[in-house]
This record gives sequence, C-alpha cells and structure tokens, in this order.
Amino acid sequence: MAGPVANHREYPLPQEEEEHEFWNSILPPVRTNRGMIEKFDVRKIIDSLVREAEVSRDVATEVAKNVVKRIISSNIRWLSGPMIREMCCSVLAEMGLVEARKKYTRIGIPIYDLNEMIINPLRHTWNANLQVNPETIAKVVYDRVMTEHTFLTLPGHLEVTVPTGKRLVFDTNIADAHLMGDNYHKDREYTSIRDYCASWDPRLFIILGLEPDGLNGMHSSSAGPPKHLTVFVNHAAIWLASWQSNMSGGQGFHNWMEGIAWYLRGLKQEELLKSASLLVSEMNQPALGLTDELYRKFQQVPRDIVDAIVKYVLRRVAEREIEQACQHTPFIATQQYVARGGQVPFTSIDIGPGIKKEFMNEPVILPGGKTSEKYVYGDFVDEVKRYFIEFMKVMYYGDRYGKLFNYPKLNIELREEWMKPEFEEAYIWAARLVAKYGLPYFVNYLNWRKQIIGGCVSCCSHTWAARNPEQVEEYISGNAVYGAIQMDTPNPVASAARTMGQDEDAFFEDFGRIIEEVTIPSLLHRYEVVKRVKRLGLAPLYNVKRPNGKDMIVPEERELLIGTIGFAEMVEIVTGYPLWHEEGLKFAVKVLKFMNKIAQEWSNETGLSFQVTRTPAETAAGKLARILYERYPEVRPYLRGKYPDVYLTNSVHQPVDADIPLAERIKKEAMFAPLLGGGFLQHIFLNDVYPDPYAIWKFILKIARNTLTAYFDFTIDIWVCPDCRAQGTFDWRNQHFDSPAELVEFKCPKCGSQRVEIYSRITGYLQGIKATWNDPKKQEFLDRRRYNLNV
Amino acid sequence: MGAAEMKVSKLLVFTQENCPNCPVAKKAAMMVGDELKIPVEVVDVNEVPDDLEFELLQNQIYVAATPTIVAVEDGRMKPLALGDPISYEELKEKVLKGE
Repeated sequence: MAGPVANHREYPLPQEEEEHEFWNSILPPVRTNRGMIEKFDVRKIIDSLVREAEVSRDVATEVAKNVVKRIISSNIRWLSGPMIREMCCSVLAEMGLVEARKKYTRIGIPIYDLNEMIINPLRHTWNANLQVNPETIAKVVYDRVMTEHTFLTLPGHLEVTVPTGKRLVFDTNIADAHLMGDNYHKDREYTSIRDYCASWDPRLFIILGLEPDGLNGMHSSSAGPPKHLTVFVNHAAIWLASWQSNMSGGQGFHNWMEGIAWYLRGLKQEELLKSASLLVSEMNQPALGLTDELYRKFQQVPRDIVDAIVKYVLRRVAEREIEQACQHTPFIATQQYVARGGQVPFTSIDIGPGIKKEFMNEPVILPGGKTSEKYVYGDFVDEVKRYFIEFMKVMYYGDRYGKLFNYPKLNIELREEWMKPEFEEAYIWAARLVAKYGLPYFVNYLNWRKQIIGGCVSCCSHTWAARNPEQVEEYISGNAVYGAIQMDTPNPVASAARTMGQDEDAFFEDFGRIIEEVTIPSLLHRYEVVKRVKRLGLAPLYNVKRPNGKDMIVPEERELLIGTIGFAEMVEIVTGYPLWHEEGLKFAVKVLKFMNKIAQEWSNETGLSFQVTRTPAETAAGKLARILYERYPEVRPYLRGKYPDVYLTNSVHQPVDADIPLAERIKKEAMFAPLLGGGFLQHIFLNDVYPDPYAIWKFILKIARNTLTAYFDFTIDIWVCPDCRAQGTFDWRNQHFDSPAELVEFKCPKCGSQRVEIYSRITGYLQGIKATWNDPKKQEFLDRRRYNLNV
Repeated sequence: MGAAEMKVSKLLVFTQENCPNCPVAKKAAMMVGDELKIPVEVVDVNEVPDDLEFELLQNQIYVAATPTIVAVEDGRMKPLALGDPISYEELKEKVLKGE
C-alpha cells in the first residue's frame, strides 16, 4: 500500500492530519509485503484505496476510518498489510462498493490449501497432462491465482476495434457466465496473458535458425539453420517447447515431411556416389588419420573395392543417422518437463509416407532460405517413405521397456496421391501402431476434404485450412502459421434446461443470447489480450518476423473458436429423442447450422474468422455437468455418469455408452464433420486384443472414403506396470469396474503392483488414467462401449 | 437400357454462380437425364433446402465444391461427381454402372 501520492493539495486537512498522527502513534506496526515492519500510517491506506480501488478521497478516508475503528475496538495487536486489506475489502463490501472491492481485493491461496497443493498437487487440477514434480506445484499455484485474477478482471464493459475498422462495444459478464455454467471460458489461467495454439512449418527454423527468446538470442543464444538431420530434430523440439512457453494450447508441425526431406539426402544413390568419390579421390593420410603402414596397405586395395566399401559405410551411416533421428523425436517430446509448469510440451506432427502433390515440383528450400537449384521436393519421395517407416517402427517398439510414446501426437495424413501400392507398406506400419497402442490419428483428405490445399491439424482436435490464395502461398513457401486465439463453449444443455417444456424457438433464443452476449465478446476479449501482449512486447516471439516479413503471430489471422459440448444431452431434452435417432440428428444439425450462421455473421462483422469446433472438454464435461446438476435438478436424468461423477458427452459425439453398431456410430458422427470448420475428432474405442493391422488398414480406408469424417482415431486401453515392466490390453468382455474408485485400485495382473497405470485417450491425447484423469472422465472411461472390428 | 430398368430415380446437380465447370456438368446431366428418362434437379449450392441438406449428410455427402452431381437411388444417394468437371460420356457411364 505504499507508493507516491499523486495529489496532496487538498488533503489532509489540518484537523484530520492531527487525528491521523494520533492513530499512527497508538496503532501497532505493520508487517508489509515488502518484507519489513513499518510504522502504521493511515495515509497509506487512503492513498492505496484511491489508487487501486479508484474511489474518491472522501470515500477512501471513510473506509480507512472504519478500518482504524475496528482495529482499535477489537484491540488487535498484530497487523499485516494483507490483514488491513481484508478489512478494507470488508468495509467496501458493506458500503455496497462491489466493483471497488473487486479491484482492491487480494488474490491468494489459503495456507491450508497451499499446504495441500505442496503435498498432492494433482488433487488440485483436472488437467490430465500434469505429472507429479516440483514444477507442478508452481503450476497449480499459478493456475489458482491467475484463474482468480481472470474471474476478477474479465471486463464487464468491453470495447474492441476489429479489422473491418469497426469499434464494437459489449456489456457482458463472462466470468459469471462461466461460473454459472452457461459458457465455458477455456484456459482461464492464461486468457489474460497469452495466445492459445498453433501449427508451424519446420521450414521457418530451416530458414531463420533458432532464437527461442525472440530477442535475437540475447537472453538465450542464437543457432543457425540446421545443416544436419539430428540438428533439424533438435531445432524442431526446441521450437515447439519455446512456443509452448508462449501459448496455452498444443503446438504442432505441418509440412514435416517437406521440411525433413533434404536432410535425408544422404540416402540418395547420387549423394552416396558423390561422397564416396570425393572421399576416395581426395583421401590422404592426415585426413584419414591413418598410420603410415595402414595408409600403404590401403593404397594397395583396388579403387573399385574401396569405392564400394565407402559407399556401403556411408549408406549405413546415413541410415543410422535417420534411425537415431527417429528415435530422438519421441524421446525429446516425452522427456522434457519444460512446459507450462512441469509438463512435457503438448506436441503434434502431421506426417505422411510421401511428398504432397502440391510440393512435388517445388524447389527445396535450403538452410538459410535459398532455394535449391538441384532438388525439388518430389526428388525425395523414396527417402521420406523410408523415414516414415522408420519413424513408425520407433513408435511401434516404444521406449526402453516397450511403453508407448504419447507424444508427439502423430497425425497420419490420408491423401489420394499416396493411395498407391508403393505406399501401402508404410501405411500398414501405421496400422500396426494402431493395433498395438491405438496411437496415431488419421487426417482425412480422401472425401469432401480432398479439395483442401494448405490443411493441417493441431492441439486436441482442431483442423485448419488456408482461407485464401495468400495463405496457400504461405503454406507452400514455408511461411504458414495456423491456430486459434481462444475457444469458448456455450452450453446448450443449460439453454435446454432453461427452456424445458417450451418450443424450439425458446431454446434458440436462449442459446443465441448466450453466444452473442458472452461467447463472442469473450473470444474478442482474448483477441484484444493478444494484441496488447504484442504491443507491450510481453511475448517477444510473437513479434519475430517470418521469412516473408510478417510477424509470427498476427492476431487478425488467428481463429476464434466457438466450441460444442453436450449435444447428446441437449437434443434429448429438447426433442425427446436420442442423438442417434433421425429426429435427434436433425435437431443437432439445425443447432450446428444456427451456430455457423452466427459465426459467419460475426466473421463478416469483424473481418476475423469465427469457427465452430469440437471442444476437447477434458475438464468442461465434468465441471458443466456438476453445475447443471446443482442448478437445474430437472436435467439430472439426462446427465451421464453417477453423481458426483456426472459428465456431459463431448461435443456432438454420440454418448459413449450408446448401444449402436460401430458403423452407425461412425456415420452418425461423421455427418457433423463438415459443419465443424474448426475441427472434429472422432473416436473409435476398440475391444480387440491386438487386432489384425491389415484389417485395420482396410477399415481405415473404408471410413475415410465412405464417410464424411475429417479426423479420427482408434483407442486401445493399455495397462503398463512400472515394477515388473509388463504391459497388456483389456478384454472388456471379461473386465468390469463398478466405479472410478475401483478403477484406481486396479493392480498389475502379473505382479500385483498397485502402481500399474492404465493409458487411454482422455479426449485428444493419451494419458495415464489412475494418476491424472479427473473422476468424471474416469466414469466416462468406464461407460465407454468398445467394439470389435468385423471388417 | 431404359429408365424402367434403371435404379437411379433422380439426378441432383449442385451449381453456383461463377463456377467454371458448372455449365458443362449441368448440360451433361440434362442430356443424360433426357436420354435415360431420369428427372434432373438443379440446386443452387447456396440455397440448399434444410431437408435436402440433412438427407445428403445422412448419406455421407457434403457439397464442398461445385459442380457436384448426386444420384438418388431407392431413397439412397450416391455422389457421381464431387467438385470435379465431368463430361456427358463419363456421367452416363457412371449412371449406367450405378457407381
């Protein structure tokens, strides 16, 4: 409460000054947040109230007087700055000065809670990506403080200038709408300080090199463009990790194969010949480091034999380097607890077994940015296929003990140009990975999405595509940066609950009001935040220039995502039909079109891109259901799970326990994919114990060609024991758990260890259930209907 | 082969303004329709009725680009062209083969 006083001219009046001096003389000293014990000074209270709570000096004086009276009358002999602040807040609240109290309050954590957080940090988060380590304590403390800060500072009055030049004004209450469960404001701990998620082209660091501080390497160091494969992989890992420190959501790479292609040239016959020839013709004793005797013997060997041996050795060196680089990638992705307080970065890579058709004739971009006069990307089809297979093998064999790698998320692209026999072996390796761990994700460009040029996926389930020729050009030239600035999810179940018994129009009116009055301004608020972060240089990386001169982060190019959740429950409440019934599907489509119409209108109004998307909802599903349970008792029968572990069905998915055949489930979810421009990931939960990879591959193609699906995965539930190192899958026909508590008690079937972990897909990534999933998600895991593949 | 022996009961042609390949596709569909006695309905992609859009989605068809030609067959729908140019001969062959 210290600090310069802006205006002393009118205050204090002589008699008040006298009174204040008296108080100061009789009140105990104060322990301040500067780490000192200072003499009580009532003027400091008044000054800080004027400065921080923005009340008039008269009001501040009135508050301070009341506080002093309380201290004197209750004979308090021990004072601290926080205590005085609490008393001031109490007086402000009693005087009805709510906004002033919000501005003046202290954000913090009760000692009891903090002690709990130190001992068991994971009990204080629903984020399944967090592990136990000391940094995680910092993360949960940070989350608590910053979330509270967000709730207190989200603006009630918002003014935003948008790219169309309009100045939009909103009077809203985003914080209360979140707390009431009407709109889920994602990433509350980060929304006032950073951007959300992104997908990058590796050619950005191939051209620019690496300066992860965004300050020309002044704080970190500056690395040049990578010249070798292993350096490429290192740069890639550091790139994602450093961006993860600047954003709240997942970080991924698109055009990975085009980026890595040139680094695989050591496998090329012509490169081997060139290197061998160079080495043999220029070989001399000092360069080879041979002894005189060895050198003499070496010179006696016929030239063609030396040439063949050198070629063989060089090829093995190149192959080994590729194997090492492939192994390096998942280990780097899963072993660095460097992101957002003790997490490994949330990473993904879009990967395919060849070069995309639009790149085949494009000259390769070399380290530093020059284009190759010798190679086009199409020259590397065989090499990247070999790399793809090697990568799949590394992922297939797992870590030292055969445990799966859950990062980077592998997004396997399905493209028409690779639907040829020569690529089948590569895709079968991806199918093997499905069969063993249910690991990869499949990005479909074989159906209506075949028209997309410049597409990618990132984070849990978002899909992006170039929106205009300029963005296509950026995609080809290595300048594209995709991603979203924020996702907010209006809760349709709350609207359904409020309008229960009324007609559809009432539902749409209520739901539309939430979107227009809360979701949209909330998204625009974060847009404003990112603009401010850039302006103040709070995230220096945002302002680093891409090769084409644009800033890395251009707020106007980022997507604003309107999320979806609980459609299964909403549809049942409004129509009386389940989501898999024709009437249910029809209404869900109607609601999605309604949301898209609003998104389009706001895109036109602002010049920004609003998209409707699937909400990952690892936390939202349980949190919103719990609020609905308390707030609207009449919707309890529609919620999934058992109280307190109730949950909403994710996005527009069919309920996980719906008793419908697999093909029907896939199609009835896939029909929503075109209406979710911001992305929609479909899950297929398998019961098979190591299904046939060839059958899986056929099934993948069937889904990709015959449905509207955009992005899908297969999930196999795996247990892994850290003690005896055994692992296995579940046969759910013979396995049953009654409750999340029973699930946590699961012991290793081989050695009986309680430490055995179960890995499954919580939403868009794989993580250990026992240690990290929240209870509603555990309940959802138990409710999932698993399928056997009958291909 | 006459229309009576055909399973295809209608051709839907989705077009839009300023679509370079739409006139050719539309003409091809009209010619095939005339020849095989199959009704042809031309639909502006920006004005697809809600019921028709839902029916298309149920049949796993999304008109992402024009021209798109869809065959209606025993109440089910099959895409014959999805945003690609198509000639009279190609279209006729697809209709006859029931592809």
